[in-house]
Amino acid sequence: MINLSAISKSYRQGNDDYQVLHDINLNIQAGEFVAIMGPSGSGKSTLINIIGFLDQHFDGNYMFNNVKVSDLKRKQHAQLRNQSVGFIFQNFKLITNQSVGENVGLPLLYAGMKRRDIVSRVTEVLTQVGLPDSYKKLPKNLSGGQQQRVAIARAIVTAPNFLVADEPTGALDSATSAEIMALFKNLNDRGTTVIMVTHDEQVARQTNRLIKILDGRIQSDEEVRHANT
Amino acid sequence: MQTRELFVSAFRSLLSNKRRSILTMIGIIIGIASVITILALGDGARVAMMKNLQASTSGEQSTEINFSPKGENIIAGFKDDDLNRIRENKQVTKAKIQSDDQGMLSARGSVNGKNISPAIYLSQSTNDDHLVTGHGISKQDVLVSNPVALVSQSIAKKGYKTTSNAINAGIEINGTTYTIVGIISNDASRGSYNTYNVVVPRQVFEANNADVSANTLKLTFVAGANVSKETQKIADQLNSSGSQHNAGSYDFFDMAAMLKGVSTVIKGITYFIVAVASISLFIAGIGVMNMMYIAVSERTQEIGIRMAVGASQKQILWQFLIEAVMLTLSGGMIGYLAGLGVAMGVSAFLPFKASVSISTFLLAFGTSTIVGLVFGILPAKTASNKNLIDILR
Repeated sequence: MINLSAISKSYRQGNDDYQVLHDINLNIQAGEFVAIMGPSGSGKSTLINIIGFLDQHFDGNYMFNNVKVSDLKRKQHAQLRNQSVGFIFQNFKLITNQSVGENVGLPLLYAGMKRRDIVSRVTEVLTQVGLPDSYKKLPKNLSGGQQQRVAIARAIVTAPNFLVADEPTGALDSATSAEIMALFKNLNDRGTTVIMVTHDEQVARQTNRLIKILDGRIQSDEEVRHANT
Repeated sequence: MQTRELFVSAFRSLLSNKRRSILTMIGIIIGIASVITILALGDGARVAMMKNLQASTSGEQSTEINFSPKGENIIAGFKDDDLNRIRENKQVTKAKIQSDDQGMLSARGSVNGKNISPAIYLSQSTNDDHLVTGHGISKQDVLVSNPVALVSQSIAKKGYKTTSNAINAGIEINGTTYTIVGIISNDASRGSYNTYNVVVPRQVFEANNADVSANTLKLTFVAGANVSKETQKIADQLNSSGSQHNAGSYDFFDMAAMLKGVSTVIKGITYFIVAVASISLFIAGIGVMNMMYIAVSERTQEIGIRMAVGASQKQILWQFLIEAVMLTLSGGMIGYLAGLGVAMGVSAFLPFKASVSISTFLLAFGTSTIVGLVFGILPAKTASNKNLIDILR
């Protein structure tokens, strides 16, 4: 599904070019559960921004379902973000003055769905992430774990090809982290591709494939052996 | 995204910042309200003037040509030949000789040997308006054409010292003697302008003064005719070949041209004041721009989230643009109503009514939309051009 070849990316800092990514080659198939690990500044966030169509300025070739992403226009990128990928951020990124239901329904609004259809779909997704009856609540009245569930609901509401999660458990305590990870696992079992960035080994160990990045280069790419298999 | 949703979300974000929205709107309200007030009053003044052009409800307009004989001669200025020639003009629907449209005219006469030049009201039927003593012109007087007259207190006193002496005494007007049957007050008037001091029955007066009274020609024109030009043409023609062109002159006092001139001046003044008032609209527009810039920087996160879940740049641009237009448009509509209210209130103390036309509504609607678009486009552009990666970091 995702096919990266020779991806490089550099920022300009003053007069110097600072290269974040060096010649990344990566293949991710549909249905995988991938963790990308690395220390701060290793370029892991930059990488998933490229994978998630947030960043269009890079060198190299990114094929998504056999479409060359760099050939697409900005409007088509917006469409890809809307239809093909779901984002989950470390600090949830919910719109604070809108209700939970409206936050979750936002991608559907941009997809052009009717309000009535949106409400039924949002209710369905909220139940799926374990938050029924919170359509009308405001995000600030929910705990961190619940807010992250809302964010996950928003990410999966359009039934995208894959989810991109940037440190989804970074702002949560370990018990809540476990709940969220269980939710991801559950989603993955139902066929959703999940790509997450983390620097927590514990979290990364629960995925099926672990990619380690250091200084913009892939250091290792291996399957995770689970204790019970 | 459906267009309706854009409006709904714009409306809600305005509501979520009520105080700021209202404060920004006040500028627009004041601007639009003052423009509408001035336009409504200026238009009202103009309409009141144009009404004096005597356009009838069907759009017909009428003018008058007067014949004034040279010297003291009393001659009828209009003969059948003249009328027939005028009636050949396709623009003229009616050509009628009459003494005076209002039934008011001034004459020469004497009372008890003293010369007077009274303003005379020719009464068509019975009349006892402004009567002080005696009795008015009765049905009987009209029926048998009795030469009776009502005179003002001052004329009565001038001729006969007291009003009671004047009753049943005589008054001579244009050579005819009338019997004074009643005394009217000195401020007797028709309408608010036409004061008069003698009333006589019209039939009696016209029977005795046919020549004098027949010197006004009333012309009625078809709708849309250029009445000033046509009437001037007829007057010129009468002056060169009319039946009495050697004995006097045919004059046309062009009321229409004068009123048109005045209304042009009123229009000019109105537009000038409107231009001054629109400066406040400009300032209000800058206020809108300022508020939109603040809103954009406050809601950077929201913009980022919306873009991350699939909003295109265009949709973000429209969201903020619609917000700005909605703000100015609702301000404009409130200002329109306020302006009408003020204009109505002010016109209660003025001799004319404020005029409400669909064009002023469209003006308020259009202006406030344009202000919203012009001053909203830059902040909206800023919002839509934000770099997604920078926002979400």
